[in-house]
Amino acid sequence: MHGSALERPAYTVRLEVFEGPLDLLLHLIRREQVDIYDIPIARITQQYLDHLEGLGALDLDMASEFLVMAATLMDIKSRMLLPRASTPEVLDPSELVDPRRELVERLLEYSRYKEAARQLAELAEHSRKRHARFGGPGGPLPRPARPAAPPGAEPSEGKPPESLSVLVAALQRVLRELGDRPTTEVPREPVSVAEKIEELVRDLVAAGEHGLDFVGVLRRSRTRREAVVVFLALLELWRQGKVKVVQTGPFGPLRVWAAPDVQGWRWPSGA
Amino acid sequence: MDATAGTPEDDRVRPTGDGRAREWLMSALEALLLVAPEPLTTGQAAAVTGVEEEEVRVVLEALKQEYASRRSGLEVVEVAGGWRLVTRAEFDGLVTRLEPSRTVPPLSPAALETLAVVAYRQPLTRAEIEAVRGVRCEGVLATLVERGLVEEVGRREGPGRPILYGITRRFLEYFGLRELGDLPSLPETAEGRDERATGGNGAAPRAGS
Repeated sequence: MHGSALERPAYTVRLEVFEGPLDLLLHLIRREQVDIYDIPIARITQQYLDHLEGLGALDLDMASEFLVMAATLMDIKSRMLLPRASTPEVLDPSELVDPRRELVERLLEYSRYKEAARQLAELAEHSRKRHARFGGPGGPLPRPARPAAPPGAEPSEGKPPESLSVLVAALQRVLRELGDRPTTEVPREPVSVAEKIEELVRDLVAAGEHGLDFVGVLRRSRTRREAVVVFLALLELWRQGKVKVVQTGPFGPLRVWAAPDVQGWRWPSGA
Repeated sequence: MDATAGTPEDDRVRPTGDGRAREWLMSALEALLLVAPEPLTTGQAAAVTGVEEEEVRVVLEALKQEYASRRSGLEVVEVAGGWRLVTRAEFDGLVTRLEPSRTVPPLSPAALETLAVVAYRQPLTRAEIEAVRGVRCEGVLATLVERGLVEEVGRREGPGRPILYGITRRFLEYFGLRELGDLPSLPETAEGRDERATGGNGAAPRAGS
């Protein structure tokens, strides 16, 4: 049995950094030059524990993963010590399976990806040294996912909506409402985005730190056209970092705040 | 106009005659490669030049050879589904001395391991990555998403609808791969000798020890 394997004076390799318990186990198995399909579990478990002790101050997350593995090893070790069912009547299949089997499978699986990672590192070593005029591995990402936050005006809770679609959904809701209203023909009153921006800035500044409800702002519109223009005005202000849009929780209300430097700001094009 | 000219509003001066047309195309493609913000696809190049995609591909190959043969400081590479004109790797030191911001920091072992799992098993959830690596991957995954090497590709139907991750075009570029199929095949285990010997799904430990 493996349990009787000669216990070598354990030494620990403190300097090496392991990616996790599987990595450490693989290292021990290779160092001991034992057959991964026939791991001397008592010996490896002991070395694993010695090593863990050697690591000492490990960050807590990491330590817990290493400790779970230690428990697994000890569990396997104890199951290895149990006598195998000698009579064929005992047909609990779990007793016929090598207690090490699952661990070995995980180790083999992990070792493949570890090797794949090494191959990737080689590829990257070459390609990251080639520079394109624009972009390329070292280039900036196409564009940040969110507009830069305006200085100050930090709302107390919530975070920016996940995507534009949240805002578009808000617009669609209001458009549906407006669509159902009976309409009468009146001469078209032209509303420009620039005018709406001015109006919004005024209202948002007046609202101060309370901000305004995004849907509420859209709802003030009398026509679909106006709602769309207000929406565009809000988007423009958002893009320019003049307002902050925040959603409190999934499907929560959308709120708009004015940035501190928004007062008196006008749409540059003035169109 | 040569026979392959496509767009009617074509105002480019394109010489006729086989040799000269080809020379023109090679120069044109070189110009496009210089300014392309992303890998230039043969489709894009064909659309812009009005030349058949097949011809574009042939001439891009020729251009690549041409750069290689004259030992230029630049080379033409096929990457992430397109073509790029890049500085040769041996000049990385000089390039980054001139422009330190161009230094591409190497990925950590944790990042490489995570990328390997995602690349070969995508789409998959964080829990599945963690099962392979045996460690939590939340932080490293967030970093990879931020660097644009991994992205959310959907949700797995089922409890909690966990996010599925996959690799990006930028991943291909980062590793200098034309397409996902160019990834080296997933290695056999280093201990694969027994796996082969026993046939079957070799991950099973030998019975009866």
